Amino acid sequence: MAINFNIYSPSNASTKTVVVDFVADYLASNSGVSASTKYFFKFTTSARKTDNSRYDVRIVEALDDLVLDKGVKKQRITNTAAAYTDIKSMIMDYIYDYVQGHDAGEYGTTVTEQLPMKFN
Amino acid sequence: MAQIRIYNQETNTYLSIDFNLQQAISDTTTTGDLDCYLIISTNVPTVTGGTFPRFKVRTLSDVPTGYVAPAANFDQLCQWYYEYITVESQITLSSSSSSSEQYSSSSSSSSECYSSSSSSSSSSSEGYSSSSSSSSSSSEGYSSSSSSSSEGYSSSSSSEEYSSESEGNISSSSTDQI
Repeated sequence: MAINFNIYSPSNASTKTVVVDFVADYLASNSGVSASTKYFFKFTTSARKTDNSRYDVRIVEALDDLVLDKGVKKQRITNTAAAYTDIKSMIMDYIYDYVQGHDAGEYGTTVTEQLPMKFN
Repeated sequence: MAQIRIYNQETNTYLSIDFNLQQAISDTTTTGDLDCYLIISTNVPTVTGGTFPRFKVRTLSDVPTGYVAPAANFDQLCQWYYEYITVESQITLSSSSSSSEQYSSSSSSSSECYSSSSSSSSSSSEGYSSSSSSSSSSSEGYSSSSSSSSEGYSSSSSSEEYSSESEGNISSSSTDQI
């Protein structure tokens, strides 16, 4: 059963939703399709970034799949490289990153910018 | 929700193992923090005809009894629960043979089961293992998400709903059973 996390912006009086589900699917990538089903968390949202672009769907297969994983692996909230301690902290970190975004190089030189969520 | 469906060809019935993401404010904390966790439930009967408990999984260390924590990822964790439940229930014992027969078995005397995995309970798997998303279309084939073989199942027990107060056995002390 998917969980909907609603994020409310008081200044804009609007709410955006991030949907988190735990699914079993085949995983496809440029290198092919997995030979069997994989179990993973799946983050989706119809919200937009402040430049009006869409968010990519994000998947999490383990608790060491940190939200910042391009070159440097870091948790967004704590700026640490440790694995998440539990499912809750993983979900909260991913949603925080959706909402707040992050600057280029904020956690390491290879980290690319992600704009915050657009509420207006 | 992710779901493994186990088909009993002999009785034309399905058993299932569900992996459900849930959230709640735990009554065991004083902070009132929201918690998120997986609830693993199944209608597979135990060997004595009872029901398995519902397993609450908060971390990759919440593994079934007999498995060494932590699991490498959620894929492995789910495989372990599948394996644990099917082995503990002895669902894999054939009515006609005690040997381990795989999907490809040519034996026609055993009652073979096929397992499927999907992320939607409404998917319509037809016997053989399949995996599908909520769209329910999908890829069917012999490959299974399970690591153990699905073999015959001689029991004709029905699909019972879970009793929430049953006891369970997970090795991790941090794991709650509901």
